Amino acid sequence: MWQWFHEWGSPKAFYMRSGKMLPWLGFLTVLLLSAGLVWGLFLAPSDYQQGQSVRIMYVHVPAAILAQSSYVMMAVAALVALVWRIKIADAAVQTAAPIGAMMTLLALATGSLWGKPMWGTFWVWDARLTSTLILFFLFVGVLALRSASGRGRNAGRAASVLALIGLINLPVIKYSVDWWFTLHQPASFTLTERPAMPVEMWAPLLVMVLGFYSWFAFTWILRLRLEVLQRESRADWVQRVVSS
Amino acid sequence: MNALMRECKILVRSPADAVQSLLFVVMVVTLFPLAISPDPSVLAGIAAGLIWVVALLAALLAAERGIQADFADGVLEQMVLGNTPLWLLCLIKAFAHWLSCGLPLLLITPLLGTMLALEALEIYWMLASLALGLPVLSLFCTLGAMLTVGLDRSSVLLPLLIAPFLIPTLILGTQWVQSGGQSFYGYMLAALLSLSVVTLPLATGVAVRIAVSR
Repeated sequence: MWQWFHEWGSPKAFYMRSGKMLPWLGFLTVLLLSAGLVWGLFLAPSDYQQGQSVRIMYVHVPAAILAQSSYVMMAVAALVALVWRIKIADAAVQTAAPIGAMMTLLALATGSLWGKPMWGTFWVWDARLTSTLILFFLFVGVLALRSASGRGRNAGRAASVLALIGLINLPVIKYSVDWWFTLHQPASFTLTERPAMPVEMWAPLLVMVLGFYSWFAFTWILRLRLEVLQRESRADWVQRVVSS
Repeated sequence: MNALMRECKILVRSPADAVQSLLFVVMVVTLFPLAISPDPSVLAGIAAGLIWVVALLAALLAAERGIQADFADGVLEQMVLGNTPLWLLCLIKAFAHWLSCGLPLLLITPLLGTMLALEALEIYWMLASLALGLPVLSLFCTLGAMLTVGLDRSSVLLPLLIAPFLIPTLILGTQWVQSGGQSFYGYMLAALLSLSVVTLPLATGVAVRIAVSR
């Protein structure tokens, strides 16, 4: 297993191997996303209460799920970068942060677009909305610290520490926001879906979630490859790759 | 021990730092009745949140104080090289932040509470929540300062990084006051404080090492 770890950790091996995977991943992403979009936006039944607005869910839910899990993925990469000082993990933290921030923003934007027709307002200080907004701030913090740290050899380590502390703090933030909301305003909206969601609705949703994950992996690898090329720009193999 | 004495000496010999924090707090609190309403019932409603937000801002503002100088003249490097455990030195740094920013704020809180038309009992809860919460702010601010020290625009960067982490403290502190001292919030705040005291100095130590190798 360590062998595998080390092989993938070397920038050159990563670049070569991911290059072979990339077309397949891209194909899978296009397939899943187009199938999920057509299924969810056109074929799936509209909701008897929410009408056509329910279709926003097919973008919103995957974005929200991906936003949270991309933070976890980023923090795991940060741990690997801090403990084992693997170069590629440091690049992974740096490249995951903007994608995660974008996803969080997408989740917030689609959520408020859905909220306007459903709740009559773009924004409420609901516990989940608030903690998603805080998640966005955490992403922004990692991004800002990383971009201010420059390009030195140890430049990414501060951002990695921040990402890890953020991961430990996420449950604390989540629960404190929950208590704040639940005890502050007695009755308001809940974002939880009705428990009995028919299969015609959750099946396209599942396809969309998988599609989003696959898109995330695709974009992440693309960004990582570019980052690797930039960082290793003096290496022989990069010269050869770029010139060919 | 020497490190602790050093921080105390710095504070005693340049009391302007602590006074500035204090003046900042009083000044910002004064702005709110002017901007919102001098009506005591309105003020009493927002007072707890207001004092907490101002405390948070003051803590963020004071975070870099001293640490920038320590970075420039090599004190941080000595911290890494010396015999004393790094986490202990970081704890002392956080204590110094609390001493110059948290403690004065705690002392002025009864006055601020009276200015904002809080009842005596509410001021009591306000003091209790600040007493438990301000050290958490100091610990996080020290961590933030160590993470950003030596970077460009670090004074803008620091609040951006650290403010999200202060949200739980803010929520628990204000809720404790607004709920009239419900013990649940007090316990949670105490739990948060003990968790922060144990873990954050270690993380700050890692940040100091990174700052020194920069």
